[in-house]
Formats: sequence, C-alpha cells, structure tokens
Amino acid sequence: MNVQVVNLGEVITNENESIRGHGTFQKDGNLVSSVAGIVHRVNKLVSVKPLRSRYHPEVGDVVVGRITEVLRNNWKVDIGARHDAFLGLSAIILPGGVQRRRTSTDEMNMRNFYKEDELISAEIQKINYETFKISLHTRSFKYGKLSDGQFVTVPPMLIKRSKSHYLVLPNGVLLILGCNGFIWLSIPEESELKIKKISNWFISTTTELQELEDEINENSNKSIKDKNMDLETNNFDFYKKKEKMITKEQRLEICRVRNAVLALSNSFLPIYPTSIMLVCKKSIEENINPKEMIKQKNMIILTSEVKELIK
Amino acid sequence: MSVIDVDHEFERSTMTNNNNSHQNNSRSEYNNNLHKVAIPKSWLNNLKKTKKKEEYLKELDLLHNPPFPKNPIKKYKFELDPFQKTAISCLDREESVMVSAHTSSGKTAVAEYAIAQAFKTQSRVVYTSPIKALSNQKYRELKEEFGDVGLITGDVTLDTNSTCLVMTTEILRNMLYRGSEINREVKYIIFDEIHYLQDSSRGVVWEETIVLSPHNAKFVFLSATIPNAFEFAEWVAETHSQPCHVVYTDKRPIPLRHFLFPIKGDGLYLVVDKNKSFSEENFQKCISHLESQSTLKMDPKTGFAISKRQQTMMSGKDDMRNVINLLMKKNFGPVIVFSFSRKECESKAILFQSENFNTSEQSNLVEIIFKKAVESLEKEDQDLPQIQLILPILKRGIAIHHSGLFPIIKEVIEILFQEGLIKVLFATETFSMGLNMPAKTVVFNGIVKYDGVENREIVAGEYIQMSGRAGRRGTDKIGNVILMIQNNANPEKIRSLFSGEPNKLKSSFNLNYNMLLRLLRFEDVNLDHILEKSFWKFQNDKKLPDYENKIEQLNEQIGKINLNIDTEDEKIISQYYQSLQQKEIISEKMKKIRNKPLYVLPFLKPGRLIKVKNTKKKICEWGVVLEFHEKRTRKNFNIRNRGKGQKRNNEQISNSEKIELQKKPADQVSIVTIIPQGYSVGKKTQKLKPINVSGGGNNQEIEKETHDLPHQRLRFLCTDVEEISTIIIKINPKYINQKEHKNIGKALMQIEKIYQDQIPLLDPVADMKIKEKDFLKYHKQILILNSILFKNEKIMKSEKYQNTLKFYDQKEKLKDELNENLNKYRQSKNLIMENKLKNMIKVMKRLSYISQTDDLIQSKGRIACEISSGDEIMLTEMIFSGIFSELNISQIAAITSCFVESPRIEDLELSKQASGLFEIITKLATKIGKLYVEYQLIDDLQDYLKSFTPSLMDIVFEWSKGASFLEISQMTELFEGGIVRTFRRLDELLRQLCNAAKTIGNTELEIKFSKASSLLKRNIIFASSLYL
Repeated sequence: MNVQVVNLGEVITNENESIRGHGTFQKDGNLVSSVAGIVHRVNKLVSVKPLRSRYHPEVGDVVVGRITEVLRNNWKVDIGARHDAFLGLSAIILPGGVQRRRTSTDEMNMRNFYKEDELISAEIQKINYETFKISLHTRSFKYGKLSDGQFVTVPPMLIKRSKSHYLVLPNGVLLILGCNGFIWLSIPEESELKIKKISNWFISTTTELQELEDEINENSNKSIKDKNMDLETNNFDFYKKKEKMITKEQRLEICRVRNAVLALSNSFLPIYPTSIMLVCKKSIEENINPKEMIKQKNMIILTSEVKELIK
Repeated sequence: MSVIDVDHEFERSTMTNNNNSHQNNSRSEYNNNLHKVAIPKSWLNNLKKTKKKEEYLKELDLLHNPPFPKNPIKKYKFELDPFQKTAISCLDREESVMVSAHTSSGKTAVAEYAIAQAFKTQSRVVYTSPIKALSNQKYRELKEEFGDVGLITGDVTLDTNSTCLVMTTEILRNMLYRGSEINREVKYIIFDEIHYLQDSSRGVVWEETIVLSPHNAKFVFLSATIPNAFEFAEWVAETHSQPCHVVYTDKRPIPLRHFLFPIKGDGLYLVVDKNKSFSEENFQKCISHLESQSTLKMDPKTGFAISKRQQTMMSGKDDMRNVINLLMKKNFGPVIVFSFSRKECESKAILFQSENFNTSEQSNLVEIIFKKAVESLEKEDQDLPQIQLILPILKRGIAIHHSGLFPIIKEVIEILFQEGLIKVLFATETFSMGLNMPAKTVVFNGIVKYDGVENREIVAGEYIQMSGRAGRRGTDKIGNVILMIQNNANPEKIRSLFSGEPNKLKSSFNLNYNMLLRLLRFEDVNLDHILEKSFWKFQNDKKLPDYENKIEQLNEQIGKINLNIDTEDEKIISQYYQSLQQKEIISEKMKKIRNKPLYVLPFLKPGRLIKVKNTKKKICEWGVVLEFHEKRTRKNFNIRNRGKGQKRNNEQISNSEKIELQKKPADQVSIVTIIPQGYSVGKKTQKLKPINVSGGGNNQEIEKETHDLPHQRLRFLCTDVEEISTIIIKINPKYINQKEHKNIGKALMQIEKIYQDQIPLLDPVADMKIKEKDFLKYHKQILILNSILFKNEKIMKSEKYQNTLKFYDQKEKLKDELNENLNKYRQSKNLIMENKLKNMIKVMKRLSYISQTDDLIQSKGRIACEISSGDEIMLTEMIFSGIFSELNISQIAAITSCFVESPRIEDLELSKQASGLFEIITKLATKIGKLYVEYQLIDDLQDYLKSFTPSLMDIVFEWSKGASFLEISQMTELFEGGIVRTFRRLDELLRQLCNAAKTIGNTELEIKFSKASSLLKRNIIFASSLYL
C-alpha cells in the first residue's frame, strides 16, 4: 500500500482536478496540507488525516464522555473534540421508556439523571457544521451512565473503527472503545456469559482468532440484550447508582486489559479487540503481572506480536 | 419470534360482501362495522406481571359495545358513529388502532382524539400525510383546532417545537434515521392515507417509517377501506410487540345512489339505490341501450357512416352538457366531474363556455377572493395566462382542478369550492384524496384511465374512493354518482365496479442505497433490519405454505404422466419439440420487427385479410382491415393554447405531416377490423395452442359455432398483428353500412372455408421487403428449422407419436408451471430480495462506500447518506469525481435537475450547453449502469439511462439566469404545475447536496450548491401556500 505522509504546509499535489477535503487548502494552484498526517484519496477528493489531533466526530460514532456542566435542558459533555458536545434532555430515555415531552420538572431533576463529573457513553447524533455544535444521544439502553470501572484515554486515531464498540472480552471484561479515544473498562451487568481464562485463549492462528472474536460478539450481544430486558420490565433504576461487587480476580483482569491498552498506545499501535487480546495473552505467556505491564521494557515485549501482525 | 395469535376476535357481524347482491339486503347501519385486535402472543404472556391475561381480554370484550370513555379527553360537537366510538375507546386504552373507512366518513375525528391525548400526556404527536399539499391543508385545520401545531414539509418549516407536528412521511423517516428528539417524545404517530404504502416508488418510505418508529409509540392509521386491514395490523403488532386494533366500516355517512348514463343516452339509469340494492333490470336496459348504439350510425345529413371515433367525440360534447344541465335543473349541484387526464378536464370545462351557474353576487365574491389570493404574487406573475384565463371561468361557477395548475390556483379553487362558489368542478383523481371537499353529485366521465403504463379500466377500489366525494354531511340526505359509459364499455367491468371489493393492501417494498447506508451508521443494527421487519416479508411469509402445496401438487401431476416410450423415442420427440418451440420463439421475434409501423403500415390497406392475436383479449382470429389510425403523441393541450385549433383529429392530419409520420411512424397504430364474434373464452384457449402452428384442422369446430353469428368491429394495435395474408377484399372504407358489414363478414367466412386454414401469407422478405439485419438472420434460422421439422413431420404424424407428443406437451407445460411456482416460492422466501441486498452491498464495496471486510461506512457512504431525493450513488460519484467543482452555479442547477423526477418529453431538443452537460451524466451513468448490470441489479442499461430526464435542463438554465415564468413556460410543453413541482424538488435536492458538501469539508462546493438553491427561489415557483 502506498501511503503518502505529509507535513504541515507541504504541497500534496498540483493536479488541478483534485477536490479539496478536510485538512487541506488551496495555494497558488497547489493543494497544500494544513496538518501533518496521512493523505487519503477517494476518487478525486483529497483529504489529510492528522497523525495527532483532537477527536474529529462523525455521526454514529460511539463515544465516552464526561459531564462537565448541567445546563437548562442539556448537559455539556467533554468528549475530547475541539468543541464541547451536548446531550439534550430530550435525547435521553426516560425511566420506563415513557414517550413524552420534557417538562420543567424534568429540567429541575436533571441532576438525578447525570451529575457533573460523571462518565457516560453515547452516540453522536448530529453535527452542525456551521455552529460546530455536536449533539449526542443515548439511542438505546446500552448507552448511559458508566460506573464501577476504569477509565483510560488514548489518542483517538488509534481506535480502529469496527462494527461494535461495545464489547465483552472472553475474560469477562466489558470494554467500551469510544471513538474519541476515551475507553471504559468494567464488568458487564450480570448475565450468563461464557468466560474463558486468558491462559485458555488460543490466538496463534487466524481461525482461532476468529473464534475468539465470535465469542466477543456473542457475549456483547447477550449483555446488551440482558440490559434491555432488565430495563424494559422494571420501572427502572437505570439512572440510580448501583454498587456492583467486583471480585479481586475481576479487578486484576480489568487492570490487565487497561495496561494492555496503554502498552498499545505507547507504541502507537491500533487498539481493537484482537490487538488487546494479543497483548493480554502475551502477558500471561511471558508471566508479566498486570502492574508490571507498563514498564517500558515490558511494553516492547508485549506489543511485539501486534507489530508483527500489522506488518 | 413472537407469533401473532388472534386470541381474541369479535365482531358485530361478519364482514360480508354486501355490495354483491342482486337480492334486496337492507341492513341496519351497524352491519358493516368490524372490530378486531391483533395481539402478539409474547406480549400477552408478558402481561402476567401487571395484569392477568384473562382480565385484559375481558376488557377488550367491553370495547365490543363501545363504552365511550367515561371521561373523554376530547368532546365532540356531534354524535359519534359507532366505529368512531370503538376507535376512540381503543385510543383511550392507549393502544394502536387502524381505522379503515370511506373518505369523509369521519376518520379525522379519531386522529383528533389521539392528538388531544398527546396534549394531555405532554407527549408529542406526529401527523403524516403522503402529499405536501395535504400537509398544508391539515396543518391549517389542526392549527385552528389545537393551536400548538407545527408543520414540516420539504418546502416549509413552521414551529417545529410544537406538540403536534404535521409532516410528510419522508420527513418523519429522515427524523427517525437521524435519531431526532421526536424519537423519544412522540407518543402517537398518525399515518393518513396509509394505503399509499403500495405506491410503487414511494411506498417503501411508509414501511421504513413504521419499522423505525419507537416501540413505545402508538399508531393511528387512517386508510380507505381495505379488505386486508387486519393483515396490516398483525404486522404492526408483531413489529412493535403491542396490540393493534382494526376498526373497519364500509358504511357511508351519506348513502349513495349510482346512476349509469349511456353515451347518447336519453337519461339516467338508477342501478344501485341508497339501500345498496342493485337493479339488474335497469342495468340491462342501459346496456341494451348502449348496444343499440354500438351498431354503426348513419349521419342523417350525408348518409355516410360516422366513424366511431367521431361519434364518441361528438356525443361526448353533447352528453357532458346534457348531464350537467340535467343535474343543475334537478338541483343536484355542486357537481364534481372526474376525468382521467388533465387535458380532458380542460377540454370538458371549455364546453361550458356559455354557461353561468353563479349569481352576480357570487361572481363578485369569486373575483374578490381570487384577487386577494393572487395579490401575494409578483406583478409579472399575476399576468400569466393561466391566472388570467382562469378567473372568467371561475366567476361563472366552473373550475378545473388537476396537477398541471399552479399550486396557488389549485388552492384558490379548493377554497372557492368549499365556500360553495364553484358549482361544477372538473377534476382529476388527485381531488379524491385529502381534505373534506364533498359535492352533492360526482360524475365519472368514462372509466378508462392511463396509469403510467397502459390504458385500463378503473378498478372498484378507485371507484369507491372517488365516489366518496359525493354527499355532503349535514346538507345532503343522499349523494349521487353518475357513471357515463361509452358504447365500447364492457358490461361486466361496469358491473364489477359496483360489486367489487376495494384493493388489497400490498407491499411494494424495495431496497435503496440510502436506506442501507443510513442503517450502517447505527452501531448495533444489521443491514437487513428493515428488510427483515418489512410488511413485504410479512406478507410473503404468509404465502409460503400455498406455494409449497402448489409445487407438491404439480410434482405429483408430472409424476403421473407416463409417456410410455423408450429413451430412443423420447430423444426424437424432445428434439422435435424443442425445434418447434425454437421456431416459435424466433417467429415471435420476427413478428416484432415486422409489426413495426414502418413495415406493416403499407400493407394494412382496407380490405386486407389479417390475423390478429391479443392474449389479453383472448382473441386469435382472421379479420378484415377497415381502417387504421396512427396514434401520435400530440402536444399537450393546455389552457393557454385555448382557441388555436384545440384538437387535431387524426383523420385531419395535413399531408406534409403525414409524410413526416411515415418517415418516423408512431409506435402505436390502431387498426379497426371486422372479425367473427361470439366465442367464449374457454373455446378460444383451445385454439390458442401454439402447437397448432403446423396445422391441426380442428378449426372447423370453431367455425361451426361462429357460423351463424355476425361479425364485430374491433380495434387492435399493430403489435397484435399475427399474420398478413395476400388476400384483399374489395371494400369502400368510407361507405360501410350494416349490410356492407354483413357482406364483409360473409366474404371473410367464405375465404376461410375455401382455404381451410391455408390462407396464403405475405412473405416478409420477398413481399414486404424487410431488410433489417436481425430479421434476415431470423429468417434464415427459420428456414433451417423448417427443414428439420419437415424431416420429422412424417414420423410425428403417425398415430403412435401423435399421442405421445400431446402428453409430452402437457408435461412440458406442467414443468413450466412448476418452474413459475418455484420462482414465486423463491421470491416469497425473500431469496430474491436477499440476493439483491447482497449484490447491492457488493456494489457499495466495489465503489468503496463501505469497507471491504467489515461493512464500515466510508466517507463516500457518508455523503450518500445525505442525499435522499435523488439517485444517491450517481450524485455522490459526481461529487467525488469533481464534476460539480468544474461547473458554474446555473450549470449545477441544470445538471441536478436531471435527477429530479419529472415528466419525460419525447424528442426533446436540448440546447448545446444542456446536451453537453447531459452527456456527462450519460457517460457516468453508463459506467455505473454497467456495474449494476454486472451485479444483476438492473436488467437493461438503457432503462437505467432513461431514469435521468433532461426535460427541464434548459428551463432551469434560463430561470437561474432570471427569465420570467412566462418565458420558461413557453419553452416547454409541460404544465405549469408540473414545472413548479419539479423546481421545488430540485431545490430540496440542492439543499441536500449542500449538506453533503459540508460533510466532506469543501466550502467552495457548499457555497455553490447553496447559491444554486437560492437562485431558483423566486416568484411564483416558490410562492407560499394559501393554507399557511
């Protein structure tokens, strides 16, 4: 594959025919890059994707964000983009799934749903390209408040887009890979999931990998479904804080995944289920404790297989 | 998962075919009401937690005898009909309901209750209607009633924050895809005219919308009477796992009387009285009156026979006048006259140039209202011929209403009509929908309608819908429907109009890229989500067992046929059979070429013996040509052309034009022939057996039966010509009276007798001199086949083989039938649609709209998501290949106009610039079209190319350069209303493109699109609706 990497101000092309996309500008008949990054061409459209930048939102992205302010009828959410995002009061699901307009009482009770500094997962609903207002919504029950878990940030471009960003790894760790580089790790809400210890993972061949990925899908779907069932039937405590019992083993698993993510980020490698699993598996093989995983020399060992895979 | 279980079903009386009755059946007014509930089983089982299943069912029983809600949320000024009470009680239980009833029977009352409920529960309510104009009217009506009402159509946006939102279905679908706040606030969604679901191009929007709607929302469906309303309710119940009620009534609030008026007739024949009993006696009288007409009439002055065409034309004029005058005399006004073409509407209105139905006061009032409405227009627009010409007609109490009018004029006429200032309204079918605009009498000017594909008789459903305009509630005790019938009308067809059932609701689901890409943007939704949940699949799944049975039966039958021959013989037979069939196929192809007017016309001299075959009419017979007419698409007759030679008769085409016609003949030629009459369908099918080509000799039997019967005149298209003989009977086409007619018939029979099915034929190559390449090729093939067949013919004629051949034929036919059923079965099993889906995904991958491995949406896909009112793939390709970037603003507007649905004009002459632009589109479309062909998404590349219409390119050019409407309307034969509609659609598309340009971050393009859109927006084209 031919990858063109350009620097800020570098001339990308002087073909007159190309159309200017994001990250470029026209100067003296040349198309010039306005960021340092990789050139993308789709037919005649030329755009440059920056190597390091703030998160560039797109409709339908799953993001993890932190509530920064409670406003009159929406919440201001930090999702690591150039602009703050907003989650409208009418963009959340009311208890019991009631369909109605939001009243002033609802506005008074907004802190019962989400308070400042709380973490949520949501989807980008729309982006107004004139005012740069980013609107979020929690379209289904799988989005919403995040509690009892761990939060990690990585550069957003490392998150590889995939069909699902809401995952349950075979070792029973819930992973929300926000497209904005915010990652949430926790234990999924109770359900009968197939849990497989990392030592039992087989990932040396592609078929074995595929099997594991299928398991991830299955587990994720199941946990989402459980959540839906749970919330549709009882008049819900969705927004109430639930204290979960997390065992020590589970905690260790979460830590391992977290450090695997950090290790990948440190080597600027793509973060997606397979790469995370490869690092976790390696850590077991090399007998590295979770807390040792982010030592510089260990990180190099752990990510070696991923590097190989990507080549 | 959930299986629909009609656990509970109750009805006051079973639905019976109440119209189809010769005997008297006066029934109580409640008789035709029906109430059923579709309840998903899983939902019912889930109930246990809150309420017991039995309890719930008991409650439903109470709905039986409508216990009108004790504390109704909304009170009505009038006494509700039982069906309204039932429907409202369902809503009061916060459950979905489908109301299926005639127009103007008061469905709106039910919708209003749902709106009132939404107001009370502080939720939102959405009212969708299929047409923008209807939305405007509805908005006006609801605004008066509720106040807090907003409107969103493609053209206008008003008060979007209101509790009740009126919008078109497309807008609601877009909102649902976008996950707008409506998704979580809407409690009731009202779908008006839900039977639009079966519209072939737009129907899928309704299915998408219903599938995407939130599960917690409740639905109110309003539809005309449809027999399978319950099937639809079942689908909704299953899709949203909630009960859905059906309230059906075919009672009319004002009873109707149906009359027939035969052309040239002396009066009205009452065929269905207000008790819905059918008078066979009157019907027969009327038919016999017609039949006495159908024999040729002599012109009293000249003694010449009048051609039928002239007859109908002449009588059409008088009859319409007679009918209207009669109605006016009897005080049966106001009257709506339905015609099926815009042209006819206008020409009929012109017949009443000298009549005045309004008093002078009323005339003045009309003028005041009209002037007031037109005031909002620019000065130059006020002088447009359509506006200038229509006022004098309106003042006399006469109006027209069709889609060719300016929207604003249409609205004025609607308002005048409601005020009672219009006494006679000539309208097209569109007037039968929407707002309550009844008249005392409805007149049908004929029953033949062009439905976009062919001319056909209207069906019962359409008749019922349109006749629903008769009878004003509160004013009239009875409504009148008058059906004017021509003498060539088929009595059975007419009878079926009174007794037939309305159409079944049938899904016309289709996949499109925009839909798939929008689904892809959702995280956890599969691409086949909508397909899986569609009404289409639901309906097809139900059909499966039927096909399975049929296939099994056919298999059995085939197994039973034992040919009793050895393999060697079978080989011979199958060979023979195959060459026979091949011959047939090739001769069919040859016929197609030969039947081109260019070749066939010179030989259709009056008196020529030809064999005509029409599978639809089940005719295959020798006949004598009397005359032929060339059908030619005439320039649209428009109100502004009035006066200058309104109609050009085919017989009066000037010589120079005739020559031109021969150079470039029309594709439709109608031939008038005399052919034997009086065979029944059953006998005919026997003779139609294609095998008989070689000549069986069973012709005599049929001849015997037709021996004593007179011959009839029939009209055929030149594509119906089967064979052309060398024989010409001497006749004088201008002088054919009944005697002559009989003589020709006799001569025809004699010839048939003499030649015994061996009538000498014209040789297409030697005699007709057809030199087309393909034709000669086929001709050669036929000769070879003939020699092969000839070799085997003797063997085949032997006793032994003759029977076997028959069996073989039978078996092959069964096999064909089996294949057909298997195909249908596969279609029903969704395999076809699923295949299409797979292929569409492949195409999207190929064009990199989605990623190769895991179906992730790519930047091109994101652009295509934004474009929903044009060919999204083509337009996206145009953006990405830089076509738009190179064009200036008016060029952009012009090129985009090709993607907007607009009427196609044949032989359109484009300016140089426009044709250059269209060339670009054709080039790109060919590329994409080839890809579609490769993936079997379309059959014919040419058809795909035809979907882009350049009709408006030059007009858009001129308009964007500042031309006045008068100027552009003179450039085209399109109706003014059509131009306005297309421009508005174009504007919508341009705005979508503007959004698309924003997404890729190209500001220059974005500015261009938005400028192009604003360039269009001026004067009458974007004059706002009077209803707002």
